[in-house]
This record gives sequence, C-alpha cells and structure tokens, in this order.
Amino acid sequence: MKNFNTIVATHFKIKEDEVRDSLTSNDVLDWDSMNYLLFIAELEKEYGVSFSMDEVLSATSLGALRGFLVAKGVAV
Amino acid sequence: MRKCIVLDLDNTLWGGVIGEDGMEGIALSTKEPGASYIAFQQALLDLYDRGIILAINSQNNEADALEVIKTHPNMILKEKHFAASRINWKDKVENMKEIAEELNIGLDSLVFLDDNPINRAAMREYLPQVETPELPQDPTEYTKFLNSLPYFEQRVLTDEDKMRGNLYVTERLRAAAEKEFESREAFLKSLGLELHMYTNDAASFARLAQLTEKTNQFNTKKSPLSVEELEAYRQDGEHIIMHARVSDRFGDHGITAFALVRMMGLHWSLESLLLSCRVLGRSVEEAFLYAIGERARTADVQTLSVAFTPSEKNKPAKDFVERNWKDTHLFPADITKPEWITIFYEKL
Repeated sequence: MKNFNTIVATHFKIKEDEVRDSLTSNDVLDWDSMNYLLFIAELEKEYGVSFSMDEVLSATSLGALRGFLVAKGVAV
Repeated sequence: MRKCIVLDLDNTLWGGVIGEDGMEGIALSTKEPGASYIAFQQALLDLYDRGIILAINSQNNEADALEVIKTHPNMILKEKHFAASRINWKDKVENMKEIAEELNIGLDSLVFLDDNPINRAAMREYLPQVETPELPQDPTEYTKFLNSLPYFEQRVLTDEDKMRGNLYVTERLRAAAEKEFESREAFLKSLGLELHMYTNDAASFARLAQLTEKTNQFNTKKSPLSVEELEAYRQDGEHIIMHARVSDRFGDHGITAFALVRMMGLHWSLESLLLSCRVLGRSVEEAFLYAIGERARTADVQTLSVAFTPSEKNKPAKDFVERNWKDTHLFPADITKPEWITIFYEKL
C-alpha cells in the first residue's frame, strides 16, 4: 500500500516534505477541480474505499481527506 | 415560465421505497441505478442555483423520508433546498394546493414530477393549472428529461463554486460509469452527448468572456475578451461569435466551447477557438469544429483557417490544430462528426 504523502506528492507534483494536512487547492498549483477528482479516484483505488458525495464536496484540505480515510479504517 | 418544481421522493429522488427498503436499501450511489438519481438531484440543484424553488409532495412517513434527506451521504439536495414540504399520507392534490398557498405562488407556477402515472393523472385531472409532464420510466433518462423541459428561463450559471460542485458530482458519476464499459468508445456512446450550437447570443457573453480569460490548455490564442468587446464584434458585421453548450445523460456541462469567426467572403478565419478542459477527451472539439463547418457551408463558405499562437500551456490546442489543419486551409466538407455526439443548431 502506497504512503498517503507519496501519493499526494506524485499526484500534485510537489515535494513529499511539503505535504501538510493544511494544504488546500489555493496552495497547490496542480490542484484544480479536474485533478482533484483524479486524486480522489486514485485514493479510492489504492485503499479500496469509496468516498461519499458529501465527503468529496466538503473536503477543502488534505487533512479532511486524510480524516475520511482514517474513519474508513485506512491507516494513513 | 414556471417558478417551482414539486417533487415526489420514492423512485423520483432516489430509487426504491424508503418505507420498505430502508436507508441501506434505497438506490443512491455512484453505481446504477443510484447514479441516475444522484445526477437528477444535481440537475435540480443547478436549477435551484438559478432561482427555481424546490418543494416536496410525497406519500411517506415523514420521519423516514427526513432521515434520508438529512443523513444520507449521497443526497445532493439537502433540507435547506426545499422551500416547502408535504410528506404525509394525504391526497397529493390537497398537498399541492397547500404548497402553493404556503409559498404564496399560483398553481400555474408549479411543475410536478412524480414517477407514479396514477398520481400524475390525478394531478392533471384535478389541478390542470399545474404542469405535470410525463417523467420517463427509465431513471437514466431523468436528467436529460429535466434539462429539456421548456418551463424555466435559460439562465447561464457563472458562479465558479457552483459549477465546480456540479463537476465534482457529475464527473464522479461518469468515472464510475466508465468502469462498466469495455471500451472508451462504448462508454462515450452510452453518455448520449449533445452539443447545442449558438450564434451571436449576447445573453451568454458574460460566461464567454470568463472562458476567454480562464481557458489555457485548449485555447488557440489566449486573448481575454470583455463583454463589451464581444458585443462590438457581434455588431461590426465582419465577425460571428459561436458557442456551444454540452450535455449528456449525467448533466449539463453548460457553455464549454467558444469561437470568434472572422468572415472574409468565401473564406472564414477562426480568430479564436477554445474549449473548457472539463469536456476534453470526448471529441467535443471535433463536433464543435464540424458544427462551425456546417454553418460555413450554409453560408457557401469554401475554406476555414485558424489563427494559432503557441503558449506554455496550450499543447492540447496545438495538437488539435495540427490534426485538423494539415494544410493552411480546411474544407468544411472534410470535417467528420464523432458518431456519438448529436448536434442541435439553436435559433435565438
């Protein structure tokens, strides 16, 4: 299972040590609406989970997404 | 014009019957048949965002129904979106009258959407002022059906946040649907893509101006145009402003393609051609070019050229230009239309 921070770094083309829970679409150049959806799809595939519409629509930061994964029993 | 949509719940906003199937049993997920209901709710939310009032008229235990509305994680419509609701075992016709009274609008402002033909027949019989269209039997057709209803003002949504909300929901549904098909082409065919072509439509200039400013990747020549500049082009007798609205069975993408055409007798030059990235990869650009070509043919135009200015980001536009313009001039008759896209030429 790939590390959450590694997936974030690869997907959004940032350095792994720059990954923070507080990151939002405003902080990350490659975080546009389309790319965010691809990121969600990647997380779902990698961890075998499914996000609800509420979760996808409400997550405004990386930390929120990490929180949802933890709630689904994924150790990230 | 109608102001308010009054909705049934079971088999209208979600699949199944909440009183029998329970929260876990109703269909409201990214897999069919649930996906169709999510798409339908998103289309209703888009109408809400354009000022249409939503209300509920349902025969149900109120507590069961409210539990879904308040807590189901895939409900797109929330309690706050409904201006009035009647969830009870009373007659739907009586409920309807009460809803009109509570909202203080005429019955002739209401549209009633219910999957049950008996309820629809009763509404037509007793309250003919209410518009009660035939909701399709197949929920996969609900969204297209709603978007084709002629009762609501065609207002263009320009709020980025709301457009993004629509994109999140509908694109997730498309991504989930794509997994069900063996080939990309079979998936594209299943979408039922429609391209609606408009010419010199001043009502859309605000959105078009926004597109010229924000589109980077599929843009032959980045040159932001203001509403005033677009208006000047519309009136100068030398240019045509074309745009397209794209929709499919999951929803309306809104206005996603724009072209500024300079007319030079038997020759037209595409001074600017752009496509929002949200519809890339479905050959919408080919269909848009085909539609421009058809317009050109109608005007007896022989050739099309394109003005291309490279930028750091517009490789997708460059590839498109190279693919279609092997020569400086393109003959409209040589453009082929992707078979999975239907084009409508709209008259203003």
